Amino acid sequence: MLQTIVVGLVEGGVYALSAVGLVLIFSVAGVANLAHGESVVVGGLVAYAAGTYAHVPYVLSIVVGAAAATVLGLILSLVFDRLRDAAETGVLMASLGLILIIEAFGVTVFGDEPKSVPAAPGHVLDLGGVRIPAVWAVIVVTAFVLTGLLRLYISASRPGRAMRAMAMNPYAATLMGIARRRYAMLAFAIGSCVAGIAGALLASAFPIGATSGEDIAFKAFIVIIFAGLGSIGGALAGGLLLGVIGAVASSYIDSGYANTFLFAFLLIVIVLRPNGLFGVNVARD
Amino acid sequence: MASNDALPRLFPRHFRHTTTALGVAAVLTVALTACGGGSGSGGGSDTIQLGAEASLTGPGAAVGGPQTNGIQMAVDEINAAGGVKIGGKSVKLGLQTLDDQSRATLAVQNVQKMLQGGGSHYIVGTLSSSSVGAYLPIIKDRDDVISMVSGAVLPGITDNKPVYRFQTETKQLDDGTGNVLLSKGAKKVAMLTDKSHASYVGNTDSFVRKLGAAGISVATQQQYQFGDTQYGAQVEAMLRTAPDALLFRGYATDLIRAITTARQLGFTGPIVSSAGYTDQEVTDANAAPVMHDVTDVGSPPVDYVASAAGGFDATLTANAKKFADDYQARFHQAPGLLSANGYESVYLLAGAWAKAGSATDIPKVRTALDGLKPADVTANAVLPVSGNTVFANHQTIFALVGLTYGNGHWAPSGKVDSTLGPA
Repeated sequence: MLQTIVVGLVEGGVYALSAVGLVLIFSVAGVANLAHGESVVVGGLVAYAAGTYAHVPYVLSIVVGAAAATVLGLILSLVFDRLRDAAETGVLMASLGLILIIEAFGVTVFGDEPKSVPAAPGHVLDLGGVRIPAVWAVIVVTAFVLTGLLRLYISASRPGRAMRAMAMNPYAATLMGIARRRYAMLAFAIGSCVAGIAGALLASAFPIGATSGEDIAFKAFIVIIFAGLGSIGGALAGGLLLGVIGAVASSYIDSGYANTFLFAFLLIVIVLRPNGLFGVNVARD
Repeated sequence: MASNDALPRLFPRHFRHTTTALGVAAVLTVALTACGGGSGSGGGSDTIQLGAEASLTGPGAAVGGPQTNGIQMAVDEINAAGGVKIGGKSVKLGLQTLDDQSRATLAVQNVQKMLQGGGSHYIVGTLSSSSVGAYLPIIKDRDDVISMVSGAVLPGITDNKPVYRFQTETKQLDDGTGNVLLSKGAKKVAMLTDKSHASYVGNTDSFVRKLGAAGISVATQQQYQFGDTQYGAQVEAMLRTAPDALLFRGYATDLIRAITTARQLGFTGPIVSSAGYTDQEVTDANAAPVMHDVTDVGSPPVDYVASAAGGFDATLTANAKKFADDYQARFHQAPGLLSANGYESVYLLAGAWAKAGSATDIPKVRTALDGLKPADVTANAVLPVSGNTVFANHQTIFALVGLTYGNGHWAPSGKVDSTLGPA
């Protein structure tokens, strides 16, 4: 069982890192960015390219991947800024269109074969029979560290407070002199950067392909709905919990219904706690 | 009680609109996708139009792209040589390639598009079993269509009169993997299957019974979804049963991830599959260190046929070498798993047209295909078939080999019997 929980924490760590960025973008910029999974994929594939073709050290390849995802996030923020007065249907269509465009570009540049970031830590920790590949541990630790740093940034920095104000009431925030466009871009940049790091780490442990983004975004949306929208810490906890639940159910009940278990749990949570698992307290903050 | 990371929720305000919009967007996306994706090369009244049902994007693209390249090569070669001689007249080929994005629903739309308005009545390609399973109801009762499948391994499709298959079928591959497990001395195995791979899923019960009759118990059957990135839960459940070997059934791009996970979780024993991994896939995934004791069962790869080590007929060896060299020169990469199947399947049709003296009389062409002998297509054959005819009940039987990975390449390690126990 412990080994299954470790597996679930790793899966959950990836979900969490994807969801943390998504929740920031959604709350601050007000955009349901369905193309968020593409930032994860770009982070992974560019880290792969940096390590494979430019032979940069492993950690630097992660940084390069995160930087590429950040650039993508900035581009996406410009696109969505242009669409700020468009109907929601139009924004969502644009979001879906961006997925197809980015995927097609990714396939053209990188091909369809899954890629793995080279020179990732390969050793395996054996803790009383529980095997933990080092790169798996890195994913979980990074999820905690990045979430903690992001919480600190949001709560203690001036830009963080501005973003919180925008999330509370974008209209009032604008009236108070907060540069809405600038902070929406910042949210996209930070959220995509975190997604890029998630992608680079994911591609260090498991090869990912140019078309992997849809599934990742899908899981990230489950996490933020399940955990309760608006909480960065909730996204971390929700991601990890969902990963563990999915792994235990898949491993001990039936792996053929992995996504069914996730949705069943999501439905139960939404029915019992409509604001999400961690949503009530957050809503009253 | 303020939580500093808390960002006020915006979803409740937008949620219902968002859900509605998502639904509308999904419908529009499907509609838009259905409208695009085609590319053609030629056509017209004096040409025979072929429709390539191709997986050029999506998870199947790594195999589907090279398969379609092989088809395109054959079409271009035939046209460059002046066309197919039918009844004393040279007829050129047109090729309309439609990408199904590795999705069965799009494969159905592609086939409908091909058949509309007197379009192509010859479907070539088709990578996935889900795709052929999805479009089969459209064509199975038609007398005016032939689908020459060179990818999908779904059992039973060749029972339908329009379908011919120049590719190994799942039953043979599964039986081959069973024979490899026997040769490894495995008594207890754990099985992982792609649940969206219709052919493997459909053959599972029968295969498990056969394994049991051969003295191999299946301790657990795990599943995954085509394109999944993580396999930890399934592999961990498999390893809990302490199996002698792991049996993986699915596409190469997924199974490389599963193999990586199995090795990360400490499994050092044999892993057997019939996925058709390419050298490039292993390289891209940095998976070379985990490929020890992995045996992949399949029909002989064209480079093996091209080599002296294959021990095949001299003409076949020369043809295979020329094909591999030409492919490399044109596409700057080695042929993929199904490139040769796609390539030769076009020549098989050409052989049948020549023999039938017609490309428009489909029943006559089917009769020609049924009686097509290897000698009829020797000049362009690149893969070895057994039997007196190329097709037995619309299905080609290939000799199987086991492939193992070493020094950056997959190489045959020996022939594998394609029948496990009593049929």
